[in-house]
This record gives sequence, structure tokens and C-alpha cells, in this order.
Amino acid sequence: MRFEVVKTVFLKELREMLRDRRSLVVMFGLPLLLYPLLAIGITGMGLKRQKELREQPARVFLEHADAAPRLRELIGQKESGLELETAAPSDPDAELRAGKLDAVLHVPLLAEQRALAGEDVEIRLQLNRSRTEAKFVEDKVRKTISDYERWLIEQRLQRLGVPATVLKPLKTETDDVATSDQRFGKVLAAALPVILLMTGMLGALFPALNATTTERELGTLETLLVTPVGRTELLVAKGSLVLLCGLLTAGLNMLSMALVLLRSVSLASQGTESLRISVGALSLAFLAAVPAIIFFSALVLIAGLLARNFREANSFATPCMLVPMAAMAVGFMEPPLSAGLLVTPVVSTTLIIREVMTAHVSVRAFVLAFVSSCVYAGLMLSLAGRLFSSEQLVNPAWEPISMKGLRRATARGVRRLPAVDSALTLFAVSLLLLFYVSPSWPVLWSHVDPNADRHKLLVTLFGNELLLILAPALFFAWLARWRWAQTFSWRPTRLGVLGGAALVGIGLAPWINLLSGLQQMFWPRDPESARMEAELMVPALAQHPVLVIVTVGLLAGICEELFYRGPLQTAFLRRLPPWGAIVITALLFAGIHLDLHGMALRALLGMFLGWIVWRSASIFPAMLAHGLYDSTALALAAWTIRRHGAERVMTETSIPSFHLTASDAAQLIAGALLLAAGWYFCRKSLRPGPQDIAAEPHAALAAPPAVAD
Amino acid sequence: MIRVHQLSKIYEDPDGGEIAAVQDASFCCNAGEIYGLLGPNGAGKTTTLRCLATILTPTSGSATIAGHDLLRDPEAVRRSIGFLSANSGLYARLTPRETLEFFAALQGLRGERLHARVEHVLKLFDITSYADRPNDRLSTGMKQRVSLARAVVHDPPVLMLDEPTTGLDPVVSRTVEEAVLELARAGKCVLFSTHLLPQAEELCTRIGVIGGGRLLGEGSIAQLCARTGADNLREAFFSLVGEVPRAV
Repeated sequence: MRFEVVKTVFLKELREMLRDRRSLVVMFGLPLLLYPLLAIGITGMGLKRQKELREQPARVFLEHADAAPRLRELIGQKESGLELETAAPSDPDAELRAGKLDAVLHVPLLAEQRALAGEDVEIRLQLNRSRTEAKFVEDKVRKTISDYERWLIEQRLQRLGVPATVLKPLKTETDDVATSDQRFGKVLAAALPVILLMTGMLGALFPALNATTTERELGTLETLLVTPVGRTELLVAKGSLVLLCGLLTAGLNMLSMALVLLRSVSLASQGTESLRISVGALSLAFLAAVPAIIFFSALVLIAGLLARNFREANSFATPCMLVPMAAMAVGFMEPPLSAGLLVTPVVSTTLIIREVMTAHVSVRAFVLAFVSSCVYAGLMLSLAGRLFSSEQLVNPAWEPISMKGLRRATARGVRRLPAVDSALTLFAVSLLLLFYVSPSWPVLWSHVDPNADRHKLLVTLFGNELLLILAPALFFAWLARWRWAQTFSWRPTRLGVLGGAALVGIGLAPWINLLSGLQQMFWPRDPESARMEAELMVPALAQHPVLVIVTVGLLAGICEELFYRGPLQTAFLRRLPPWGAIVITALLFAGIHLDLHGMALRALLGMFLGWIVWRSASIFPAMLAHGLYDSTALALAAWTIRRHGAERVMTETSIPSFHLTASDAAQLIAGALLLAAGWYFCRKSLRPGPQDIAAEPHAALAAPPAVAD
Repeated sequence: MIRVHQLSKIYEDPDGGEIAAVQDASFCCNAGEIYGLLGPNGAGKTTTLRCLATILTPTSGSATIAGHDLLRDPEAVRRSIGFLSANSGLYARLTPRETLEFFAALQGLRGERLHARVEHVLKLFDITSYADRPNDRLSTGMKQRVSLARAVVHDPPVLMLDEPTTGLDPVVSRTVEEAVLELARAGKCVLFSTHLLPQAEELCTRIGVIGGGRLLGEGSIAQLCARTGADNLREAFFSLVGEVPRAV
């Protein structure tokens, strides 16, 4: 890497950007002028409206007002904020809907008299919660009812000769130990992550598209690539400017927002709250966001590299802009810190900024979140680097994200291999079906079998595997005229590979159980989802262990392998190096289970299955390994249920604990031996030889992408 | 200067097969010569030039440019070439002077040498009068002059021009053609791809007719005519690419 070259390109990019008013407005104008003005304007309007709603009396009609004279009196008092409507409405519902009345209180006959006599009396409040005023109306009415209730209690006590002071046995005083900057940090923490990430991405967007799509459209990228400058040097120079813009925009927005929020909160509290900005906390929050901004800068660079023109780049960038919105969702949910969340992209940055702003952050948590974000940023940068190194970069006909694969093969009877776009469409279809249809299987089956609940697992399994996974794959293969044998790797392989794969599948089960238990130690599973899974699995395993073990093994092994290691992996192998195709397929395989907690371990299993299909050019070893892995894992679970009873297993499933018993140790040793033997057989049988023609088709799939002259 | 030996570039067909964009192309081009790659659209001209400019990596074959091996020393190859295609553009927000300074710096020129070379090229292509005007305010002819100046700012011994007059009006095309002739007279080795028969006839010392990714024939116009038994380049061209010329 030559610094002088990087500097030359960087300065050229900077000069161009400084002459581009649009970028400057987005970078400086938006945060410094428009954004605070808008924020203050909106806050001002909001405060004014709130004041109006607070001060405006709510019109209340009291049904049978004579039955509750004290309540009528309380409503009539000015400080109640209510206004008693004396004219009885002809249709209370209609008047509430039309906004002519704010609330109706239905009081039964002789209500006060009965209440004072010690009876339970029900008062019904009727209002329209679809109106903005409803919250204020409800608060005022409830306060008045509460005052009335208190008066009634006092009257009852008086009749019993008990002083009213018995109602106040305690005096409470609240002392907030949070400092003024911690209190303001709490306010800021809700919005700061999304502002930092969103504006960082927005600031990086235009420079990224200018540096990639626009250069390609203008034909200047080609002129750059025929100079002696290396592609890495070019990417570093261009990426540095993109990142600088992202960081500057995010930083300015952060400062601007902090000042605006401080002013708005001070205005809202009318000086009653003492708030202060902590410069140290803000700086640390910004530092925490830097890797995430690098990640997003690389993401928009990738969007620019993948797009053929500026319009397409914008349409690619739009969904990317939604990714930082995850920060907003996390901000609302405020989940407790856990190691798992601290290594989850975007979530980790959001959480650590919250902890920094409220001065609760620990060095360990900060380092974990920062390092994990750096890893994701590095991965995204390397992907950008890989795309930038593609020789097809200057080819206007290059379509890294093509939709041509979705068309049907020509009528000449030519069959073809699945393209990435069609494989991803297949994945999306199956994912949507699983999301929407899967929960309905037991309900649908209940129309056929009244005892459907007892067969919930098997019904769901058959429905999902056959109709939502296998059927779409076969339908797509028929529709798009894919070559059956090559697409699904439907070829025989050596017995040694099959045997080896079977041993690895069985041997993996106890080890993945162990890893899952270890993961549970630092990233406990959500108890609710653990309970739901246990409710589905444990009774079925307790009732029909053999049937469940065999069915799950067969269906998952056949259907899922035909789907993932079939069209998906075959399509990726055509575009990516084998390791890339295997990893992406494994991640999709893990992702479709919609279980974040089990994702890493499923991806690990998926990588082995992908590797063996790629090396053997046959789907059968993966089917065998997958099926036997699932069956072994279930057999181990069935054995545990048999030993300890279903109820204990159900209770313990949601408790994050990890014990290693002698039986577990024995399983692990047996697993290790099987793994070693299986690996040995696989390697031995897969050793390349002159007769290894079967592996050739997959080698050919890893060819460079298509191009036109 | 340019020696190409059995160069091939093969792509994967979206339907699973292979497409040979260039197949076993062999030719050479010497200093002071304009070698024309003549062929219809999609014949493989652009792919050949992009391979020789190191933008694409050939699937097989070899080539040397100004003595540098294409695969072993691509950076030296890029130092030795000036590349211009019909699609080459200019940075809209830079001026011609800044454009030339930028590309000269990327080619390793620095300080006084860089400025002297930029001034020389500005004068050579008669750009001085608009050298400080932003590129997006230049006419098409001015832009093409700047593009040519950009391609030769580092004084490369080899020029690769991929249909540089496509989309230009006859006046601007003439300017480009004259500049190319001038550069060849100055001793540059020029590889010139075109699908225009009169242009090839007028500019090129030797011509390689390319079609379907294969070099179908090469030599001077006289040699091509003699080989095909044609009376002129037009007939020789169609004889080689396998199509009958349509009566006009």
C-alpha cells in the first residue's frame, strides 16, 4: 500500500466532494441548521399543544348525578379540570365519537348512599381513546374518581370512629441518586444510537455512491483502473472519505441533537430538572459507534458497487437504511445486557451507548461490544474489497444482483442451473411460508383430528418439511427448468463417504449439546421460547420416542438438505468461492429456524453439511449426517426424559444452568471417537484421484460470473 | 511493443455453459504503428483490449506490452499504456488541468516534472484556453481532447483506444483521428479498435479482423484483400466474418 497514492486519490475525492453542494448540505447544513430548527419547532409546538390539552377542561356527563352528590361537587370544582355537562346526551356513544363530549360517567342509582353503607359500587367510565385528548381526559377523570373514593373511605372510617390518618401509615420521600448528566444521559440514550447510526449512514451514502456507481456510470472508474494504482489503494482512499463523511455527519448530528434535546427538556421541565451534558460520555458513545459507522459505510459502498446506475443504487440503499432502525427497536425494548447481545451487530452498539450515557458501562462490556462491532465492520469491509477487486467492476452488463435467473428457461428444452436471484427468491418464499403458515398446521389439523394437540409436533413437522420446504424447492426446479441432478447433487457417492458422514452426524450431537450448554452460561436463552419448544418436543418424545426420532431424522435430513445444499448452495457456488457459498448457505440454513440463540451452532452444522456436499458432489452424505444428527440429539433428549421424567425436563429447560455428569462425559468421549472415525473415512474416501470425475461439475460451478462483451 | 499469443477469455453462461468472448487471439503491434482491431459489435474487441489493459484477467494465453508480461507484471503494463474508450468519462467537478495533474500523479509523476508534463500536454492538445474551466462545462469535442490528453499525460509508449469516436460528430471524430495519427507519427504503438470500415482503412497500418471472439485474419489492407480475393477492405471484411455485404 503506497500512502502517497492513497493520499492523491483521497484528496481528489475530497476536492470533488467539497465542490458538491448536495453532500455539504447533507453533512453540515442538515445537522447544524435544519435539524435543530425542526426539533425546536416540533418540540415547541408539542409543548404548546400539551399545555392546551392540560388546561382545557374536559366535558363530562354524570349519569344519575343525584345519586353521587359529592362526586358531582368534585367534578364541579375548578381544580378538577373537568366541566360538568348538565344536558343528558341522546346518544352518549355518538357524542363521544363526535367529540361533543369527552367522557361519560355511569353511576348507578343510590350509588353514594350504598357506598357509604359499605356496599361495592361500580362506576363505569366511557371515553374515546382514539382522540388525542383522551389521555388527558382520562387522567383528570381518574384523579377525581380517586379523590371521591378517598372521601368515601374517610366517611366510612368516621362512622366506625377511626381517624382518617390510618390511611397514611407511611410518609415516602424519593431521593434520586442519579447525577444531572446521568439523568440527561438516560434521556439521550433512547435516541442517540439511532441518530448516530442513521446519520452516519446518511452522511456516508452520497460519497459512497459518488465513489462507486457514479464513477462507473461516468466511465471514470475504468480510467482509474488502468493506472498503476492498486485496487486496494483505491478502495482505501475512497472508503476513507466515505467513512470521514459518515463520522463527521454522525458527530455533528450527535452534538446538535444533544444540545437541542437539552434545550427541549429544560423547556419542558421549566427549570425544575437539573440536566447536564457529559462531554466524556458523549465522546465515549461516539467512539462506540465508530465501528458500526464503518460497517454502514462499507454497506453503502457495497450497495454502490452492486448497482448498475444511480437509481438502482438508491433502491439498494433504501433497505440498508432500515438496518440502523434496529437500534430504535432495541432502544424501546431496553433489554438487559448479556454477552450474546453484546456480540449482536447494531444491538451491541445501541446497548453500549445506553450504558455509556447512563454511566453504567463496564470496561469488559465496552470492549466486548467494540471488538465484536470491529469484527463485523472488518467482514463488511472485506466484502466491499472483494467486490471492488472483481474484474467485472467496469462491465456495464455486470449484474451481481440479477433478476434474470427468475425467468423461465427458454422453450428450446435447455435446462439450466439455479442462479443466485432465483435461489434467494426460493428462500424468501419458504421463509414467508414458514412464518405465516407454520403456526397454522395444528389448527388446520384439528378440523381432521379432534386430538390434534397430541400430535402437534408431527403435524407441524410434516407440514413444514414437506409442504413449506421441499415442495417449493421442487416447484421452483420444475418452473425454472433446473437441471435436476446437478441442482440437487443427486448423484451416488462412495460408501466410505456415506459411512464417514453418518459417524460425524452421530458424533456431533453430544458435542453440539455441550456447546449449547456452554452458550447458555453466558447467553441464557429466552425462557419463554425455551418453554414453548419444550412444550412441543417433550410430550411428543415422552409419548412416541421412536416415531419422533425416526420421523424428524428422515424428514429434516431429506427435505432440508434438498433445499439448502440443493438449489441454494448450487447457486452460490456458481458466483462465490466454495467457502463463501458454504458459509452463506449455512447462515441461511441457521437463519430460517428463526432462533437467534441456536444460530451459531446450526451454522456450524450447516458448514459441515455444505462442505461434504461440495467435496463429494453428492447430497446423500449430507442427508445421512443431518438426519442422524437430529435423531441422535432427540434420542439423547428422550433418554434424559426417560431418566428424569418429562416434568423435570420441562422445568429445567428454561433454567440457564450447565452441569457435566458422568453420562455426559461418556457421551462426549463416544462422540469424539465417532467424529474422529467419521472424519478419517470422509477424508480418505474424498481424497482426489484420477477417477474423481464426480467432483468436476462443482468445480466448474465456481467459475467467474457472466459478462457480455 | 504489443505481443499477444493465443489470448482467450471465457465467461460462464448464465444457463450453465461457457461463452468464449475471445479465443486464441495472437497478433503484434510495433512502435509507430496503428493496429486496427476491426469487428462487429460483440466480436470481442473490448474484451481483448480490457485484457491487455489488465482490467480483465485472460483465461489463457499470454501477452507482453512494452516488454512487460501481462500476468506477471500488470502494474508495469499499466504504467506503459494510455487507455481510452468510448465510455471513458471525466470528473465533472474537476478542471482539465486538475484532471491531468491527478492522473499524472497516479502515474508516479511528481513536482516540477508533473507540472511541466501537464503544461506540455495542455499545449499539445490545445486545451490551455479552457484548462481551468470545470469539465462539465466543456463541449463534447473539448472533453474528448481532455480524455486523449489524460491518456497520454504520462507519455506512455503504448496507446489502447477502444472505439474512441463512437457517438462523436464527424468534426470531433476528425480531431481524434488526427491526434491518433500524430501520436503514431511520434512513435507510439497504437492499438485501435473500431467497427467503422472507412476509419480503419484511413488510420490503420495493419488490421486484425475479429468476429465471434476469434481473430479471423490480419495484415495490411492489401494482404487481407489478397488473402480473401476481395477488391477492397469492405469485401475482405465480410468475406472473413462470413456475411454477404448488403447492397446500398
